[in-house]
Amino acid sequence: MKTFRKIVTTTGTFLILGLLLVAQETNKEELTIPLSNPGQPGKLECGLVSGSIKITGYSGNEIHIVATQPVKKVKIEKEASDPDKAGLKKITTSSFNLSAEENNNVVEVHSNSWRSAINLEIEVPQQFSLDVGTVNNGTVTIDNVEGTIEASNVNGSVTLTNVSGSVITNTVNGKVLVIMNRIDADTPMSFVSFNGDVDVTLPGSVNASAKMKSSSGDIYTDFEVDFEKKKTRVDESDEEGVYQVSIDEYVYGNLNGGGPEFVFKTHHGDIYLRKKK
Amino acid sequence: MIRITFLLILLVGVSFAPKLNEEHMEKISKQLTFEKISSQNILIIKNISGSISVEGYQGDQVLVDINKLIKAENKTDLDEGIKDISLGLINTGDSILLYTDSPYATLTRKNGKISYQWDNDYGDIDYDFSFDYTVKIPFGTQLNVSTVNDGDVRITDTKSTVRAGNVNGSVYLEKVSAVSKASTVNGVVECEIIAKPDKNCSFNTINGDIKIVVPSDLSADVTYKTMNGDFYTNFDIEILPFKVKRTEDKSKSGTTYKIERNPNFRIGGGDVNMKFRTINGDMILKKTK
Repeated sequence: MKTFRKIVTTTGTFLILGLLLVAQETNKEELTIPLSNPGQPGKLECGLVSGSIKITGYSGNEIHIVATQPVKKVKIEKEASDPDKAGLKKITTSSFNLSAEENNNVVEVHSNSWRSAINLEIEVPQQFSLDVGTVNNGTVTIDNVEGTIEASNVNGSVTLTNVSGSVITNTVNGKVLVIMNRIDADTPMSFVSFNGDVDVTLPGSVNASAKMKSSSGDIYTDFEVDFEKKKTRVDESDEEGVYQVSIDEYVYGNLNGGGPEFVFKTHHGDIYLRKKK
Repeated sequence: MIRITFLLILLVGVSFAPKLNEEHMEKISKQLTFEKISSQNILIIKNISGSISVEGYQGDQVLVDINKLIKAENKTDLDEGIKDISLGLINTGDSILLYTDSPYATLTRKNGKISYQWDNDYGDIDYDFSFDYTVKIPFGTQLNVSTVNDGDVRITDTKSTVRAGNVNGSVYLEKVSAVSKASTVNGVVECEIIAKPDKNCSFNTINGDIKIVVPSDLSADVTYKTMNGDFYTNFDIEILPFKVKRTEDKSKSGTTYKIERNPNFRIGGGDVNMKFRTINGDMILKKTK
């Protein structure tokens, strides 16, 4: 029993050590980009390979970027296979490149996030359009922005709160959460995930034709949806002797009499369509 | 039908591939002397095509042996090549400049700085040419040599500062006392430096490794920049705060704001700066055994 306790304490010590090692220092850099036409509509484009993007609308007229990146420790690697490198330390501190190009209120942000993850916190004027996305090791979060918003992720969630205008958003592995205050009329929108819930809150007065599908989940809503009954579309095509039938399993329904098409779709997960209170 | 067309294209392609049957080989030998002997004596070679090999020796003349080769498809083109391409030589007394002279080359000297440009935009030349240099220099002579195509730059056993450049080939410096810059684009950069560096130096390539061997009493601040490579060393290093470079460029396509943070570390007391830069390759900084 005593030995057992000893083992537990040793493991505990190792755990604490491990945690200390994980708690790394971070590099932090800031970049401020003035717009050529302050006060006019503009657009931010930013695509990361690794890292998070957090965008907040504010009352200013500049784009303000805070970039952080964890500092990597120096590792010693034995590369006996290569005689040139045998016994040498491999230095793995990461370099850091961030650049932003501004042209006529369109701002493109570039980084070397494909080499090591960079987290970006960006402040944009409240009325601004966005086209942002990441792939790995991060989330996409947008708050208090009004404009044409495109937000994507692959391995992580997309969260849009307090946004207005129009939204196209998708991820593969993660939740899509969208809360909209006001929406542009006659603009189709799309809210898509593959492994994750799609949770969308829209103003109660929205006119839209919803097209919804969850392959292995359920659809929940507090809207009074005027469902089109049994509207299963079967598309048949006969091309060069190959006969193909595809059955469309979407649920169609109109919100407040119908309007532009809003797509809500996931494979593993539920769909929530909520009325803004 | 498609197959026939393909065959035709193949035939046409083959028939247009140049067969450089005509050759003109010339050996050039020069014994050159610096009239004003000083530590500022410098040999400059601006080569376009061909290798450069330089070795230090106990003597006071610069001994140059060049294999000049012109190749062409036919006699007319070959004659044009022989007429166009020649060895340029300028000896100012304390500096000797050797270069490939031709109607396409422009050499300008401004405030002691030499600018050498090759421009054959206004028509392809119908011959190939190369100068392979084998040179012996007095130990104390500084070097600034470069080539572009078809050859490596190899420098051995010199006791003054070396600057060596290439584009499509490697740079090898063996037993040299000092290097200011060694660079290429497609090739490796290897330097064996036998004295403790007392001046800043830089090593650049795009596609290739950089391998530097220096005495173990090195005292330098090292920065490196790479895209797909890693840095390896057996020196004891002290990681320094990142060097942050901020730039702002205005152009037609807008304004670019840029931040660059490059890794930065100190070896010994950090007396000189050493810069490494490669895109696709590793960097090795090793102690002399």
